[in-house]
Amino acid sequence: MARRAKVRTVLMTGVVAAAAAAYAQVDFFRGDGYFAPRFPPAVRADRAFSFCRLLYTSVRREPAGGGWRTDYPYGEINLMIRLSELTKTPVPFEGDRQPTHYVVRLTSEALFECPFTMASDVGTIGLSPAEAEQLRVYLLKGGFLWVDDFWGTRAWEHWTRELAKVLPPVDYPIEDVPLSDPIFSSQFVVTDIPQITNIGFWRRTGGRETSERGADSREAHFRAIRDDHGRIMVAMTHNTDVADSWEREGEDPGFFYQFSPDGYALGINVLLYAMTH
Amino acid sequence: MLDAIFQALFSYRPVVFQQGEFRFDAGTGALVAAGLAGAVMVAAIVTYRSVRAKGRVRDRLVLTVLRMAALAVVLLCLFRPTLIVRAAVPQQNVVAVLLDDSRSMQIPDWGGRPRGEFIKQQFGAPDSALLKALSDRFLVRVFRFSSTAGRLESVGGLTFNGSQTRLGAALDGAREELAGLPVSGIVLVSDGADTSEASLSDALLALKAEKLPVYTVGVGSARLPRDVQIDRVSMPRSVLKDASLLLDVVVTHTGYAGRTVTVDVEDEGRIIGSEQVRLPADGSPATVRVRAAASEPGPRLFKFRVAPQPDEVVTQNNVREALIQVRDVREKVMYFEGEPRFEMKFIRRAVADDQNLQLVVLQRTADNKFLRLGVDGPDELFGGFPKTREELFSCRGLILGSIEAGAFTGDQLQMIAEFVDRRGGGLLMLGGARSFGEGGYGGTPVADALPLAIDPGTRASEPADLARLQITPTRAGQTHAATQIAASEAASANRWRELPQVTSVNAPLAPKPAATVLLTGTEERGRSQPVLAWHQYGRGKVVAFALQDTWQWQMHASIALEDQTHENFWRQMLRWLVDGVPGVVEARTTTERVEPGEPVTIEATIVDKSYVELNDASVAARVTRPNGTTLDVPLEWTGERDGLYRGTFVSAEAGTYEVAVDSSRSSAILGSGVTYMRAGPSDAEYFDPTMHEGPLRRIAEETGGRFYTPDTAAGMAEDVRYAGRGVTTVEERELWNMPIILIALMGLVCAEWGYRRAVGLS
Repeated sequence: MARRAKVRTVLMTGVVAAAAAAYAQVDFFRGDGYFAPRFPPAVRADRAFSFCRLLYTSVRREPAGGGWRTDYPYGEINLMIRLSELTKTPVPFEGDRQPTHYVVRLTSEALFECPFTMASDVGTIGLSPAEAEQLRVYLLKGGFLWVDDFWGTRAWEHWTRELAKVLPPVDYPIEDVPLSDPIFSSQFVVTDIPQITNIGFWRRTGGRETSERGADSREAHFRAIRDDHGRIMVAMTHNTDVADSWEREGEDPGFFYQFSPDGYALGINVLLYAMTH
Repeated sequence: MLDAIFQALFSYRPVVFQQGEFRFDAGTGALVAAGLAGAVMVAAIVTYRSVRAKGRVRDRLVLTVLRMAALAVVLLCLFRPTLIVRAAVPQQNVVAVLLDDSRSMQIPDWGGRPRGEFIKQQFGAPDSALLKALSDRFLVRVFRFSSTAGRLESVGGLTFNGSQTRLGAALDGAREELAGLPVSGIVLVSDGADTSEASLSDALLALKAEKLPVYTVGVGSARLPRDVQIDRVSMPRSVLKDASLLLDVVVTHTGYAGRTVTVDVEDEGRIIGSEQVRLPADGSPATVRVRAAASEPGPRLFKFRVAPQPDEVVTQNNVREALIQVRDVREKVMYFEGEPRFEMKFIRRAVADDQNLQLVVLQRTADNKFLRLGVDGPDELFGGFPKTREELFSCRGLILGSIEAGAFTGDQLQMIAEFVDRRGGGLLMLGGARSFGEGGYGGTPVADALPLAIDPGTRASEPADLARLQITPTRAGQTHAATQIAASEAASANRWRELPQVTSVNAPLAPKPAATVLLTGTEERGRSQPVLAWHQYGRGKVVAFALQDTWQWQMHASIALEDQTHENFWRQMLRWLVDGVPGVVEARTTTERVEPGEPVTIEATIVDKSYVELNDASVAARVTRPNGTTLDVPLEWTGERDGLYRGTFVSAEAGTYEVAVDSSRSSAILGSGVTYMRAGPSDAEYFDPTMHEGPLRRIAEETGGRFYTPDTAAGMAEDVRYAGRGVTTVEERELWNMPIILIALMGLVCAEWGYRRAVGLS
């Protein structure tokens, strides 16, 4: 009897563990399933604005992180739809009524066809010397990179170490961007940096907690590296997952109302800034 | 030589025959003699008729004619042919001698000696040949002339250093100085190189009215054996600081065909441009385009120089100077973009480092929502695109991006056209989904202004199919300043070929008749279309640039990080757009350079802020002299043209003068404008340094005088004597004793005798 109870206890523990693991897995992949990267064709059909996501190699893992494909592809799809609705930006749509978006490798020449790029979960990024050099050239020519959805000190330190290979901090220091910066008023007036959590975390905490790393990520940051003229080249939204407010806008009204308006306001402002500065 | 032969045969100089009145002075004895001669003639005819059997009819006819001719000559002499001439009474008349004292008289082409040597030789001492010949017959008054004219006591007072030659002024001065005196004529000794801008016609008119002949002596060679000259320079009077200039320099030469020379452009001692040119055949000009940068602000004196060549006769004309005003100001260009797109971002970035361009961007981000970038203050463009002419016309350039015509009111479209036509601004329309025909501009005033023709019936439409274009400069584009993207024309053409493809979503449009196409785009199928064209529209220029993504020339993977092609192209485009665009006050002097002491005329065009010409403004110029002192010069409305004001001041010392013109109206300041001019000796004397026979011959012929060279001038004094002017006496000149008469008579007699022997009648 005692043995049966012991087995039952182990089984229950296993089920719970499996469920927990499964839940963690779901949270890890955010239920995205697998979306193949959509690389740009050799000859693009137009030269209108297209959202380009950087494909990179992860060299470490972050809880709830998905590497380069985090928030892909619905983050960009929904943002571009909103961009076409809220601004005069000509957004190209394809046959399935999806806006044109691409994934580009850092070593690809296609990178230079995308003056705007975004990368998520960059606390796991690993940059080879060739990739770092290509990204440096891209940024100094006038390219714009927005990195998002990386939380806590470890992710920040890892990202800044990798970024230092691209833009040495001596010459290109990282700075906090004040709310008076034009990037926060390109179209909408952003009065604070929203801390947006992924929807799984939001569900687990009932929407009461937004810091995914507890005290280590209590405050959301908007940081940047500027060029010689003070124009932002690299925008960094740390301790927040702005792209999730786009990706998951349709999954829960509570999540939408809590995060999406602020997320879109910031997202569209950054896009307009990238197209004007 | 011809004169000497003529005088040997006819006893008198040609002027005697030109001026004299022909008469016969036959007395009674002459009539008797004539009767005898007639009888002899009849007898001769009868004699030849009687020898019919001995000769042919033709021989007898020839001999009769010869005999008759000889008798006719005798008969002519018996009637005492005489010329009645009016000759100046010795020492009762004045002759003015005008001697050229300009620098060009130093040129050593009078038998290898300076031209001035001829003057010294012929007029240097009382017994000098020409002076003595004149002094024997006239009272001689000697004048010198260059930029000014005056009496000369001694030829030793000539310096041959005058910086100008004013033939008309010199003739006028001498005529006026000798007014009331019995003047037989004026002798003008010069190389004929008149460097003044005044016409000779007025001076000649006065001389003709007084029937005062001018005898001109042209000193110098009509062709120099070896000379290189900077003939002309094409340079704007005013440019923006750091402008890249393409300066056309025309080089002429003699004697150096096939030689390669270097044309340098110097900015106060610093070489800022250099280009080599191979000299063509003698007399053919060579045009060389030199690239230079105007990097120093203020008035700059550029020198265009070719190094002296071996054995060159005149080296002073190897340098030409030109004053340019390099303006260190920020010219405002407004860029209205109708949709967020990367083209605007990269154009902004391209010109961000240009301190002389202010690009003000009005970016429509959403309906009725605008982002303003680069504005001067919080109120600028607050209400969107300007609604008044004053606001719009405050810019010098206007760029219309992908913005549809429907975004403007009818009056705003009219304002844009007037911005070019009346205000003189530069308008640039960029390609895009909402521009040109696709933007619904057909039939609007803006379409009228564009250099590409949009069918008036065209309605706003979806963008055309994407055309991928390889850009190539046209012949005009290869030499245009805006489309130079490398260090030389050839390198620029190559660079255009290397640049990545760009695209257009605008249907190809044909250029209007007066438009110049600078760039064409060629599709992969080989079809070409104009992508950059411009034309003058009223007072301003309009540029059409039907591309939407030149940012590829910055971002493309094939473009190196250090490559400045995109930046240079857009800086040049925008600088070209605002080049020459007038301000509210446009000040200028009628000449860039005057001799010290000469008057300077200032002109200013005054308009209000909506560029309507004003005739009731208060306009004054503050002239700052080279020594720093200032002079206020009032400018008055001329009445010749609306808005045109004029005033004068007299230059003093040599140097650069700043002329700052301020205008106000009803105590409200309208604006100001600055220009520069310089006072200083000119080098014009050394340009076209050959002896100019044309003007000298014209002066002589139109006044009844005569043109001489140094070789023929010896008989001039005698010619002046028979000018028939002044205190004259009537003289008879008998002609029967001219050697030519005797020669003719003897010739006829000998011919008759020889002929008779030849035909066997002797």
